[in-house]
Amino acid sequence: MANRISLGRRRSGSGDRGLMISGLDTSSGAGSAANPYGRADVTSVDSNNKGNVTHNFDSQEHVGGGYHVYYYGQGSLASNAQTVISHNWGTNNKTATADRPLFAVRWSYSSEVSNGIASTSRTCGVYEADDTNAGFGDFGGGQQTKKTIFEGVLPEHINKDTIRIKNVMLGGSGGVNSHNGHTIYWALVVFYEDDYNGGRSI
Amino acid sequence: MGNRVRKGKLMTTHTVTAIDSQVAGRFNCTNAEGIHLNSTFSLNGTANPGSNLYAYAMNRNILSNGTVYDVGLNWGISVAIGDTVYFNWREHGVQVGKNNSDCTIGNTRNLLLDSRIRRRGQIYSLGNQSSMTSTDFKGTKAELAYIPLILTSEDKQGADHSYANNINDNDFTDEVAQFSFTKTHIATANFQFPANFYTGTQKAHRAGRTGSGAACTNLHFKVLRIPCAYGYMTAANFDNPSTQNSTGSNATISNIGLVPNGGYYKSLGNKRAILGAADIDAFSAVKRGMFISREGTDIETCDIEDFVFGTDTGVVTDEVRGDSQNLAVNYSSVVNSNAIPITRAALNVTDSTATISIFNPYSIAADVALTYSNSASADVSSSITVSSSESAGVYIYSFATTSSSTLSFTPQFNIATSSLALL
Repeated sequence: MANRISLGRRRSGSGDRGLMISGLDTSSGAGSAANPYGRADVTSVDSNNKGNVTHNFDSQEHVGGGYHVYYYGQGSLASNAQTVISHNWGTNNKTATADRPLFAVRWSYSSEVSNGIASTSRTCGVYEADDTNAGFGDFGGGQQTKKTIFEGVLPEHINKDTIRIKNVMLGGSGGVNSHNGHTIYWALVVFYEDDYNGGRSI
Repeated sequence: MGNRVRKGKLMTTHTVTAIDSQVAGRFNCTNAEGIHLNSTFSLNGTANPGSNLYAYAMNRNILSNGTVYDVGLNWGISVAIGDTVYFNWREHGVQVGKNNSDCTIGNTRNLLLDSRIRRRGQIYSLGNQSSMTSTDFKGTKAELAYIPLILTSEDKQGADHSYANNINDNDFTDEVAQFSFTKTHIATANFQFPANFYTGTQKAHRAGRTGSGAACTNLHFKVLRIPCAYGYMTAANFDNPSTQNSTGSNATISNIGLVPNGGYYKSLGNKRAILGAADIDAFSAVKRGMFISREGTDIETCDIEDFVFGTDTGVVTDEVRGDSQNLAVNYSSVVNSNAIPITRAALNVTDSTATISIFNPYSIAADVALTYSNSASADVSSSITVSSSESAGVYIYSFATTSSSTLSFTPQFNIATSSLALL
């Protein structure tokens, strides 16, 4: 049976210290209860004497972070509305002024929410489209029209303690279009870890 | 070398640095970042303060008489500047710190495992898809009770002006890698709609990837046991069990202490961690590894949803795949300068180069996602170069630009734990 956990030094001669738990060796087994995937040996090391198998958890110097939930929230936003969420991550964690927390935002159209529960969630982004019609049959003589679409949900840091979520579901305009945009239903998770994603939702 | 791991009591030690002279129980202290809301408090680290008062951090950063204090206790307990006080003295569990950090400070930001936290990056399911439109990530596992947070990386990332060609004259999005999620499925999505027909309640965020070259390729995903959808962001899903005293007066709770009316107290005293052979109800047979339940639950009898840490059993239906972790991008500084590992690497590059250093000892390469943005233009693909070199397993990534604009790079190195299509 493979060694799964190392608490302290990984093995004699290794500088790895902390808590290490190996992952699976999927080259053997089938993942069933009767025949589980194999377990990798946590004491296996490479030429640098570093653990080299897959890990369920590793605390060595090359591991930068994980995901601990610091704050959660949800709400709805009408078209072209925005909300500011004060999570106070920076103040509570005594961070530098320029630091920002890692976060995730998902959203749903109102048609996807029933009895206060979403059936589908979506990733954030902003979309702008425009299309110009030259007019009557595209051969001139008619009124040229420009039609536009704006959709999207845009979360952004304001500072170390607050995040803003904008509903930029502005709808469409121009020509025969008549679209007043969408109300969206958002969900937010803020992590203790620092933002590695450049201010964007993961 | 700091304390990297501790198991058992998670007490933190603090020195009072300022007090509210008008309201007892409000003060500043060292290492306040280790104090979570509702952390238990003691004056000596071994007993409740005063006449057996159950005391805890009722407020963090409370404004009091014009000054913001780190902590506000639920009882008016007097402390003096210079006093040593203790928080988390009743909490037990496991904490693992990053390299060069001291886990006994209790600063979760520098911890890789903090069992005080109800929701962590535990993986429910993961997979690798060379191409995809929709995938059932549940497979044969029990279905989650919520829509989870799913981390993705794929070949296509970032902004594009023309990804939905032939739909309209111009279609711009700031992020091509769009997805939709349910309790069981991950599906590709994109913003696209013919402007001529965009009326009424039409929606532009739609299934699929219709644009030229926008197909989802080489997708890596991890499904975390963290709800992230409207309706699921509730105390029941995110907070540890607690009890409210609503007897109408102060009450002495057995083994807890005197709890004020309306006071909150934790459900403590359960067996929460097992290291080694574990005969626990969440699995059909004895498993080996490390398993930790959340506060207020017993690891031997709790639901698998109450796990805050687990070890992959190798059985797909056991739905425990370990932790999602990221590689540090300052590896050289960690090794050579005792820096604490970080994943953050938003590099601003003007007209030269910037570098990050990575060390990946594992047999499977990390999922790498490099996101670029340009202060002057959304289209940066033609103005940057990325190169890498390797020495003794340490990769140095160099970013350079010929543009006079400022480019921002946000590299992610998500540790891969399996190469299977679905696990």
